[in-house]
Amino acid sequence: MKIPVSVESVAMETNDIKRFRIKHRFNEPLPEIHPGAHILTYLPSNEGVIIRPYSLTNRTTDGRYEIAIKLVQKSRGGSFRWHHSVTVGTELEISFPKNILKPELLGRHHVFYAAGIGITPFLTMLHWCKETGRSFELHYGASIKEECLFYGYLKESFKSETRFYFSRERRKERIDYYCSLQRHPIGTHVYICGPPSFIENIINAAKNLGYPRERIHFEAFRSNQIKTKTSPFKVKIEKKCVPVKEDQVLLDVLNENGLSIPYSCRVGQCGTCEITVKKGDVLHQDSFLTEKEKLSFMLPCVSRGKGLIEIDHNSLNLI
Amino acid sequence: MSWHIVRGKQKYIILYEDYVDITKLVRELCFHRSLLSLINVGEPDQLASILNKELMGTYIYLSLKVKKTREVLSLLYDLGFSPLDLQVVKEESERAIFCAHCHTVFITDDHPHAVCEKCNITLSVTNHWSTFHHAFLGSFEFEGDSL
Repeated sequence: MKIPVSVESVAMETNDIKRFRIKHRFNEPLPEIHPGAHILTYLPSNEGVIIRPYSLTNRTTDGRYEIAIKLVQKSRGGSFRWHHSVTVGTELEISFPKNILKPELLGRHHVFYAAGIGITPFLTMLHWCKETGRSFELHYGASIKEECLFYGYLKESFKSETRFYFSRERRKERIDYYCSLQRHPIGTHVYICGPPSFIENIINAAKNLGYPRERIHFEAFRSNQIKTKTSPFKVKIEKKCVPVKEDQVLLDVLNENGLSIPYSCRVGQCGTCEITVKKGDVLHQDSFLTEKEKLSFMLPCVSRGKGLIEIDHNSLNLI
Repeated sequence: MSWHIVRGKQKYIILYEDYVDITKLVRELCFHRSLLSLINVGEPDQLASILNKELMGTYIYLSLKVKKTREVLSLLYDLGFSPLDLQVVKEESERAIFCAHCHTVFITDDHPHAVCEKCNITLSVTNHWSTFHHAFLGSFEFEGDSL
């Protein structure tokens, strides 16, 4: 189910990040959100509808959503469209809010590690921590102060809990993950959002220090395993054989062929779009399935086939 | 006594009582070259002040009598530890049983059947170990039932 919305305002936050405020097209308040929620945006374009997940940075008291979008240099279409085609009044659709990240209620201490645009899912979580009197801290890395999204807001609202690291300022500073992770008290939950290497480095450091996996939470912008070069392959559904071009996503191809598979994150992290593979080799690019699960299942939002794969039509959980 | 070694932690702590033998556990943990600390559980207040300073990457083994285990567990949970950060070394001779009828947890000898000390119902002691209650599930025993 989708919600019809339009863009109410657009603001330039940094050189390459724009903040969009979205309202319900019929002026109803948009649904309440849990801290850390994201939405899928369905933006019409000449090439079809562009579907992208974005974290909600705020839900205003009058029921508007805010998202912040960074213009990616090698944009696959999403951020480019948002930056160059979307203006006040642009109409689109969004999904209901969903959560991959959410604050753990039983955590004794919450630590947020963000890099660049990775701050976006944390804004509502930081606010929740402050409001409910939780113990928390934020470590936020950016290249320079001017590129640091919500710098003023964070400095004012979470002054004692926030530490900034600027890698290209005169006094160069980077987050020392290992050192930082070493001093968190028992009962700490760690939340990470940023580029794939940033997430991977912190997860590895935390694991090496003996953090239980269940205490480490992250949200990726895209799958950290996606290969830049992809090859075409074919997918067999019942008796039909459908080609998937190198620039196509299997999930989209399945949807175009009448199989409305539910999905959410589109970065291989939530498992919503999981399908059963009957035959063929799969190039797994997700961070959700276990090694054992990968023998039978795949996530078509990021993973691809090699040559020809056959999926189990009977096991599909269609919308 | 039974336990399993959880690897990759920065520090291990064994909480023990004088009359529980922890020699084998200590010997196994020494192989892993991580910090090992043995704490003889005395007054809960003292224990709380020591454990309150522990950092992530610490793992605790509780080698205590069943009654003491339950006291110390509630203290540990208050301090922010969770079942992910600790393990109860199970004493073979006595067991904590969770009564499926009245939800009382009581301690009894290691027998396949037990009578709940609160509601007097005879229970079959199952192998289901609750990490929440830190007790084995005692289920109803119906006439002719052979669980």
